Amino acid sequence: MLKLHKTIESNSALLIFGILIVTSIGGFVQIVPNLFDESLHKGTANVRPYSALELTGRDIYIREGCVGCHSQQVRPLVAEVMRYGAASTSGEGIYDRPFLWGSKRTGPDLARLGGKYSDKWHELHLHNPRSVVPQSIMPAYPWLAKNKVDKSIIVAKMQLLKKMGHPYTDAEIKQAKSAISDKTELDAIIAYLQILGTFR
Amino acid sequence: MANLPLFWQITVVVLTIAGLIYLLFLGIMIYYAKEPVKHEVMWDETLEEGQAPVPAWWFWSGISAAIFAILYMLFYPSFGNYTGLLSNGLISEKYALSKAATQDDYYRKTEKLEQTDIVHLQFDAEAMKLAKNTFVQYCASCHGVEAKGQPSFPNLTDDAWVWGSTVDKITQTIANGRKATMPAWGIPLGKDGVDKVAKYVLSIANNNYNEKTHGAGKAKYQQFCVACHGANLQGNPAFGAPNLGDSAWLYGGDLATVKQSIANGRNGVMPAHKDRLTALQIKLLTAWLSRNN
Repeated sequence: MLKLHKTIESNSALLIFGILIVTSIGGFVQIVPNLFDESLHKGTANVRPYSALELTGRDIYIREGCVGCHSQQVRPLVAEVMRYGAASTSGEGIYDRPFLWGSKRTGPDLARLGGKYSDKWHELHLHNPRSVVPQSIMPAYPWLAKNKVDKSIIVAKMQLLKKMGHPYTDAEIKQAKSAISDKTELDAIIAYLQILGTFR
Repeated sequence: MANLPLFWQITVVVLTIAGLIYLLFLGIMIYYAKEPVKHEVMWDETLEEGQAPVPAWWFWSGISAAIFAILYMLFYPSFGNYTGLLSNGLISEKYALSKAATQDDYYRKTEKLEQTDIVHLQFDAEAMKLAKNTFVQYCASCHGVEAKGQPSFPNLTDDAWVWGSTVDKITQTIANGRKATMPAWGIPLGKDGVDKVAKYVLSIANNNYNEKTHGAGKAKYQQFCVACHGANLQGNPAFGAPNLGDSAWLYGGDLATVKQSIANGRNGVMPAHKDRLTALQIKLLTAWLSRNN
């Protein structure tokens, strides 16, 4: 046994290989069985795939790095639920690819943001957060109102998601381009923010 | 917590136990290997290099980690579908219990408030402090910390209540939200018409109406605006049509802003809060907001 140990320790390639095997067993035990846990894949009653406009808004949310400062998961702790609303469940995120749970709360959690403020508030707030929340440290995103959304890839995006199991109808995909034409990035991201947390 | 098929439960259990046994075995083997230290290489006559037994602290931290893992698996869900002796703070029943305990505590403290009527709440300094805190947390991002509002979001400290100032109306506004739709009149009125109506409305609000300059605007107003805002510009709380003759302006009272409101219309939205606030919180807010009426 000691001899084997010595062989491994004195041969760096073998040592790397051994470490990879041991850590991958740990990863395997933690990750793979959950892929077969049906209860984690079952959607909630209200969950649906994102509409063309919401999906576009979601991609802008990703592009602007919102997830760096805002989490989207309410943990099942009483204080947290009292502040943000019902705890997040796996079933409401089955159409989140990739998920945007985040791990950093420089700003508040956004998992239950939908319907909390009016569209107008979001418009003013994204243009300049200080105009509605004087003590806010959030950066301003004035270009969202000026930029039209990029509608060249929406069909491809939805087709890809359909292949991955999102139940988009052919009609939805066909109308996707016209659904977001003439919309600004601001419209798209507000549409996305207003449905956050409404899938439970 | 977990809800795994049998095969995967077995996989998890077998690999976990195998890992632990291997860790213990390895530690013990290394610790009790009584081979003497062999100095294979000597550098500079006195510098030696070779095998030495692992230090005791290292060995015992390894063993403690293994013991900790076993205890952890005993108390918390990490072993197939076994839920653990402590069950777990994360599972829903446990959460419901702790929520019930918190709410019980919270409501025992506020039971008195719940039974007090709104008029008496307004004279209860403690209750008003609680109401103010609730307002700051849930309402201030639109209406401001002092409830004085800002453009697009109404001032709640004045006498102008677009949707009605009674306790019932305020409660409804908070609980169910409101949607105010002012249509765009830019096309039917035309550029000149918008200008005339805006000037007429401002002349009434600023109390400098003059038949000669504002008469034409008044005629247009009586034709297009009267249905919602009323013959005397008094507004109508049933549609959330604001009084245009007072000094309170939701979007701003300068000529340019009023013209913009008329030409492009406005869509005011107050979100519904019945799912975000408890009945008591809404009652406290209503008491706080209506205390000056």
